[in-house]
Amino acid sequence: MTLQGLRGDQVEGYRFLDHMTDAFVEAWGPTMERAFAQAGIALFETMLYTDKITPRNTEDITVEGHDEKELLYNFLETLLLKFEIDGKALGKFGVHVINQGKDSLNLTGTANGEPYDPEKHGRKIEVKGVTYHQMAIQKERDRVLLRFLLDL
Amino acid sequence: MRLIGSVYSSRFQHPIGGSILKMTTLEQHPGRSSAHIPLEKIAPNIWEVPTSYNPGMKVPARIYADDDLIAKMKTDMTIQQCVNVAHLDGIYKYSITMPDGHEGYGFPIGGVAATDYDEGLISPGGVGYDINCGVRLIRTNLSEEEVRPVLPKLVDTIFNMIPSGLGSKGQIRVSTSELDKVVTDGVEWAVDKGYGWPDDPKTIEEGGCLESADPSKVSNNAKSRGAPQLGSLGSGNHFVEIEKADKIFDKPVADRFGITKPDQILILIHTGSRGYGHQICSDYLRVMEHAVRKYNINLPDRELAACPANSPEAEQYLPAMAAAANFAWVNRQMITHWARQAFEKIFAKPSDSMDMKIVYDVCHNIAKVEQHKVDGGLKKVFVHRKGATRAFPPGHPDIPAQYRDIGQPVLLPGSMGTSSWVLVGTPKSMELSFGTTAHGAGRFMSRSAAKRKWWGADLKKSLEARGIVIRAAAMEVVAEEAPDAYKDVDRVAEVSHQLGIGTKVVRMVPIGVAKG
Repeated sequence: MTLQGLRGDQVEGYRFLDHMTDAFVEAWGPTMERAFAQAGIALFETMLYTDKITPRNTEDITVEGHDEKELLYNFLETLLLKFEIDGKALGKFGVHVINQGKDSLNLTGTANGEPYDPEKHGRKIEVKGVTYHQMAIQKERDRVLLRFLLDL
Repeated sequence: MRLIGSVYSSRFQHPIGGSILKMTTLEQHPGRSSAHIPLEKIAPNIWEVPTSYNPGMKVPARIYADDDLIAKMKTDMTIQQCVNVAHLDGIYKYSITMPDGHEGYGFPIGGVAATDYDEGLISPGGVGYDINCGVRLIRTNLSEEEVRPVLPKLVDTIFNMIPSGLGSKGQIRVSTSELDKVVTDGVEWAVDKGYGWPDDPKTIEEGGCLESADPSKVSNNAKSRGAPQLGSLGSGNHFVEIEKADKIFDKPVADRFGITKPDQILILIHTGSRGYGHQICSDYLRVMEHAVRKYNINLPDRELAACPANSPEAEQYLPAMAAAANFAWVNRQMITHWARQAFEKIFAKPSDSMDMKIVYDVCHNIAKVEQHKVDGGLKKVFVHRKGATRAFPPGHPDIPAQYRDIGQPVLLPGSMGTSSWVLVGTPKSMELSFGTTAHGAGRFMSRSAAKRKWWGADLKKSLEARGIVIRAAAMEVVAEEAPDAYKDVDRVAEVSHQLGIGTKVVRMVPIGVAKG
C-alpha cells in the first residue's frame, strides 16, 4: 500500500492521516511499548523507505518524560536527532519497558538500522520537528493508540 | 483530515484491515472548520470577526481575501486560528491573516500579529519551525533565447552543485565554533569567505544580519543539526528556479530592480534555516509550554505557546531566533554563490559580466522589532510574520538606500511550475497590515491527497511538455508539490494589489526547477 495506507497487521501498525501540510500519524499496538515502537517506524517511513533498511547495528535508547505525551515527544525527537545528527536510518524498534520512575516516566529500548544511504533507503521528505499538535494517547480495551503530528 | 474527509473515508472501504478501520473512523476526530464564525465583509477583500464574538478577544480578527479564498479558509481552522491570535496580550489593531492563509500550528500560516514591545507576548509559534524561511531573487542580463539551448545542462549543473533533498549536507564543513561566527556575522561571514560579492548584503533584508543574534542561547542539538547543513536546500517546497520575466506591470519600478525586459532570465531561491532553525523552534516551544504555566497566561489554544516580551524566556528566544535568521541568510548566500558558479560554468564567462546581482532577499517566517502607528501615536512592537512578507513603503529607513524612494521589493514564490511575483511595498501596507503582505501561494490540498491524485513522474512529464525542465531529489515530493495542490498565486497577488498592501511589478514564470 502507499504511504497513506495501513501498515502492519491488526495487532500493531501505523498509518498516515490526512493533513494539509504535515504528517499526521496514527500508531497502535497491544501495549504502550509496542505502540511506541510502531511510532518510531512511522517517523522513519515519513523520511525514507524503512523496508530497505538492513538492521546491522543496534542503538540503545533511553528517554524520560514527565507524562506519557512528553515521553512520546522525547522518544520521537531522540530518534529524529539520531537521523539528523548521527545519520542513522533506523527501521526496527524494541521498546522494552516504560515504567514510572521517581519523578518521571522512563523508557528503555533499542533501535536497529544502519548509516543512512539515500541510494539504498530512498528519499522522501524532511521532518523539521515533532510537535504536541493534536497529540493523543488513547488506551483502549485491547490496544493503545497514539496520534501525533510531525512538522514537515 | 478535516478537509478531505470524504476522500479519506472512501479509503476506509478498502478490504485490508477492515476491523481496525472501524475502530478509528472519523467520528473520533469530527471535522473542524471555521464556517460557524461570524464574518463581516467591511470592504472589498477585507473581512472581520468582531471582538464581540468572544469576550477574550483583545482586537478584531481581520482577513484579507477575495470571495473564493475566504470560502476555502472557512473549510478549515484558518479563521478560528486568526481569532485565537486576537487573544494575545498586548496585541495591537487586529490579528491579521493574509490572502494565502491556511491552517497552521497555533498561528495560521499567513498570520500577522503586532504585540507591544514591553507588555506584549512573544510566540515562537508566530514565527514557525523554519525560522527565516525566505526567498531571494537574483537577476541576469541573459534572455530566454540565450538560455533555452543549454537549459537542461544548466538545471543539471545547479541540481548537482546545490545539495538538496532529505539529509542534504552542504559542500563545506563548518565546526560548531565556526558556526557560532556564521550566525553572529550573517552574510558578511560568507562574503569574507568568498561566497559572495561585497555589495550582496546591501539588497538583503536587514543587510543579511540581525545583530541581536547570540549563539550561546542555541542548544548543542541545534548546532549539531545545523553545522553540516549550511549551504543546502532541504526538501518539501524549497527550490532553486530559473525564471523568465513574463509580464512587467510597473515599468519604472521594475527598471529600478534591474528587470528591464520580458524574457529576461532571473533566479529564485526558496529555503530557510534548515535543522538549525527547526531545532531552535522545537527547543523554545518547550520552554514556552512551561512559561505559559509559570506566568499564568490565558490562551485559547495552548499551541500559541507564548511568553511575556520582558521575561527571561523571551530574552533567550529572541537572540536564538536571530541566530537562526542569520543562518538562513548565509544559507541562501551560499546557494547564490553556487548558482552563480553554475552559470559561469555553462556560459563560460564571469558571473559579474552576466550582471548576477541580488535584486532582494525577504524572510517570511520571523518576528521583528518595528515602529508602527497605532491610534495616532508611534508604538514599538514585535511584528510576528508567519508565512507573511514585510512590504515597507517608499521612504522607510529600513529599505536599502538604492530602493528607498520606490519601496521595498516583495517576492511571492508560486508553486512548482506556476508563476511567481515581484511586488513593491506601499504606504497602504503600513495602514492595513503593519507593513506586510502575502508570502506565496499557500497549500490548497494536503500532501497525501496530492500523492493520491498525481504521480511525480507524470507531473514531471507534463511540466516538461510545457517547456519546464525539472530535476528533483524525490519524485514523491514532486507529487506533493503539484501546482494544483496550491492556491492560485496570481489571485493572491491580485488581492494584495487591489488592497494596495503590495502592488504588482513583475510576473515571472519558471523554465527550470531544481528541488529537494
